[in-house]
Amino acid sequence: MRTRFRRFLPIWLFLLAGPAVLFLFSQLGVDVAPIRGVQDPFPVFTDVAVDPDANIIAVSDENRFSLRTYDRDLTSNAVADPRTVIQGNRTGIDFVCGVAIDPINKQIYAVNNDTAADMMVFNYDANGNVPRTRGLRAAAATTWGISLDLANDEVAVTIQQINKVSVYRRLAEDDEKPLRVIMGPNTGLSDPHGLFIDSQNNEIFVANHDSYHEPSADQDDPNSATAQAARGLANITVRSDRPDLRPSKGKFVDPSITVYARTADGDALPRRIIQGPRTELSLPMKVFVDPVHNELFVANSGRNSILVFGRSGGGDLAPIRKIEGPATGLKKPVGLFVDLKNDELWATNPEEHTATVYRRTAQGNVAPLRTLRGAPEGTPSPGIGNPGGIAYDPMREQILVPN
Amino acid sequence: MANPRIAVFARLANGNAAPVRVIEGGRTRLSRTSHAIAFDEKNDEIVVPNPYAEAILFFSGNAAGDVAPIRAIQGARTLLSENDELALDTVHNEVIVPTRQAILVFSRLANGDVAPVRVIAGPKTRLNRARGVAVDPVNNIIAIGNRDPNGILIFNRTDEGDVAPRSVISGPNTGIYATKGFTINSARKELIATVEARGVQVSRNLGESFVGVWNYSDNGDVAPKTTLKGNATMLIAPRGAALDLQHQEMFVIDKVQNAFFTYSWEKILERLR
Repeated sequence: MRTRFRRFLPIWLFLLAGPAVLFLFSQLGVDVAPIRGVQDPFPVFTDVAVDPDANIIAVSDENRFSLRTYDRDLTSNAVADPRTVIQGNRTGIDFVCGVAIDPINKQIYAVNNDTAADMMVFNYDANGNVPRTRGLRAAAATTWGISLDLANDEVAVTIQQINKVSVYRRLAEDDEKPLRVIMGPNTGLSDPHGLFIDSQNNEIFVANHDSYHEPSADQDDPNSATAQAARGLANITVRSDRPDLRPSKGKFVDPSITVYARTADGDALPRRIIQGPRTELSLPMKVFVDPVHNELFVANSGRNSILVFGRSGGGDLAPIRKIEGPATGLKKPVGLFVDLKNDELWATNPEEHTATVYRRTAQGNVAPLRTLRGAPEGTPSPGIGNPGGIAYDPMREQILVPN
Repeated sequence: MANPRIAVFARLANGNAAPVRVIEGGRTRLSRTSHAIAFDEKNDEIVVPNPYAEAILFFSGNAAGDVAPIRAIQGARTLLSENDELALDTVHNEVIVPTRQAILVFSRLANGDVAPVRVIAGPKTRLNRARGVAVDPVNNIIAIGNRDPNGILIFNRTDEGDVAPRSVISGPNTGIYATKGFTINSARKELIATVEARGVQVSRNLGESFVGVWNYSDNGDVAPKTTLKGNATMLIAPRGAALDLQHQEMFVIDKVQNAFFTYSWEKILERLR
């Protein structure tokens, strides 16, 4: 007995050492509450999609990490009561950005921009801390825009950090590979955000910001070390290769809307590009094509405006109309949707906690028809989103936070 | 939110407070994934990376609105890649920028397509998928978070080429799952690192991640000398940290909370006395 105990003593000591170390480690900690904290307790509306027949809108909330539905025709100026709120660690909803709606199959699609950059699908009646109906791992990080093509049964997403558009089967799940990708130096993609598949005219529209680089293989790996860590894997696999330093290809470009054939694949040239000073494009976010009236709508965040272009336009062209001005309630608009049944245009204003509704043909400094509020009117917004850095300015006694 | 910007808050801001000014707009050339920022007290400048354009941007300390950077490091010779973090050395006028496999050191006054003045890279460095960086220009160290080996690598500030780190803090006693950000207390020769616990970005559990304090001289499988850790801290996924020694406060930003919190640095130090 004693011999057996001695033989296994090192194993017992090893097994006991782990918990002991963890216990001692936990005793070292100082568990004190912060003396101050800056945080927005309200949802902010990022993107919006509408099903007019079901009379609902779906909005993504990248502040409190939720996906919400509301009655489309709410008219109160008070904080709106949601029909459903999908939120919690079982949902997979994180720093959620793009949202799309499938009125045929009664489902809502959303993509996370960070942590698990997944595409998630929920049924209309999903509510609370519930698991998604299905999910797709589209990238390691930074999926932003999403567009459904119900005519061809496909769904597409943009991936910011690798300047990529990936097109999948609508029912794609888990690690399924895309049917097609648009990626490469000839595509003109640069920090892509919103996208729209125009199945009637067989085109894809993509909104691009002004930052361009050529991504590394690491960044295009859905299972990169960073992605594994974000998902909390116990044993993270790290590539052993150390790529050589290479000349940087980063540059600033003018923001643009690039338009591709719907079936474009690889390093495809755009069919046309809307770009230049007359376009007034500045940090364009969501784009939406109205194939009935042949118009392209752009949430133009950098200038607090909604721009409308002719659908088939290209080059340095001026918008045919725009919504802009203090009466509009537009502030850094991100989301956008054109409801053709009710002839309405929706936009989201994250820093105002609002979604605002206009006539589809509105232009100039017009007040919204209705305003959907996630917080009481006038509520301040810190506007902190997915932050990573912080610095202190002792001269002005100020704290600096980049998004 | 999704908008790229630098928000500036009063030190005493609390609750659902709006920033006192914001640097944002098309002229700023900011992108939305700047995982670090530095304030240059000596020259009244703000330094921030834009990894999507492989650039380092400099703004005036009082910049507000849609303003262009006063300088930008960008171009083929810079070797910048995945440069979402940085640290500033105002004594030697240098900016330290980690890529995933290297540490690039630029002159603070560099502008345009300028090569780094020093590069730390190569197999001896053990740099691999680095995250987070700090520099102490007085005690002459550069600390960097690393994925393999998982932990903290410490180099001499003037190291160059394929050199081994002078120390590696790594192992089960460190409690490190993933280091994310750093600040330093130069007078006490202490490295303050934010450490994300396993799976918190998904579980959103409070109190598992922590801020750990190590000595510059630590090497090997060394536990932090103290930690800020627990449910009361409100921390889920801490990222950057900054110290205000005049008011004895520490600021920590949290990615999942979409918030920053201010802690009494004195209370944390009490554990060390």
